[in-house]
Amino acid sequence: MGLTRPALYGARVDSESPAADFPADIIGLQVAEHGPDARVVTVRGEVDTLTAPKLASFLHTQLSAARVVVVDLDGVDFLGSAGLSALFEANELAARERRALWLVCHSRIANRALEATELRDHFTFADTVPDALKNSV
Amino acid sequence: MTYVDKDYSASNGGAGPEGAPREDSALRLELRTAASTVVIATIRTVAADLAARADFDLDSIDDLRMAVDDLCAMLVRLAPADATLRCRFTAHPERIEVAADVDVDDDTGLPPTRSFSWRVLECLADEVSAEALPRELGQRGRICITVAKNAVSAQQP
Repeated sequence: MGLTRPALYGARVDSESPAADFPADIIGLQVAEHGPDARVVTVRGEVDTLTAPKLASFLHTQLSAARVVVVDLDGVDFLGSAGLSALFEANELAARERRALWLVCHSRIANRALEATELRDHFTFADTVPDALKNSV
Repeated sequence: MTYVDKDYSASNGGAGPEGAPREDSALRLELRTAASTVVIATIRTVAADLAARADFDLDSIDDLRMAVDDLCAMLVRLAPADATLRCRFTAHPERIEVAADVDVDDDTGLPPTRSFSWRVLECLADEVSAEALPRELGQRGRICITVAKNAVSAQQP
């Protein structure tokens, strides 16, 4: 499974030795700071049993550091039960800690996952990342 | 990964003249792998490919891909280190059945039906069931999860 796509997928979250990286996880997680209070997390690739723990810990870190976290799921091409669970738990954490967690999602596959599992209503969506940031001021 | 198509000769060589109805037009395919999370992406891709070829609509293809991912992940979590995961696909023209099982140690119970994963599986598939297969002489017991998915997704209320 030669699944690495370095041109598409940016920063790997952890840096395990190359030998341990087969088959490659194909998730990309990047974060951008928008002022002191807001972070935008961009998720690309596949969020499944292998990669969901990385997403969970990444979101946990951002929610500890910023009052507003926007998760851009547009580049997600698989969202399985483990990924849904990671998002759900991050959302619960945000509610407990009085943080704002926004999802931006135009990925057909991710939207189908949220709809088919009836989880969509638990989350707060914005149409675009700037909208989410604007609504959080 | 082993690919077994038991009925390959039956479903092709056994077919009647072009266009003639077959007694059983199902495609059967079996994958056997180590029960490891790294193979799940490949197994769910096989499921989605079969669904696309069985003329499933896009949502139903996605649902089956997610359901197979979920059921494999559940079984891998139950399996001891050296276990084998077996997935048997039966693709009918408008319906796919997947029966997957793993070796388990004697004290392993069925996956909890109240879990997040199980609830997700029930949303994604049209039929879901789990059963413990009794231990045969010299063999370990097995836990099997079966799902069925129809080509057209049920209308959401």
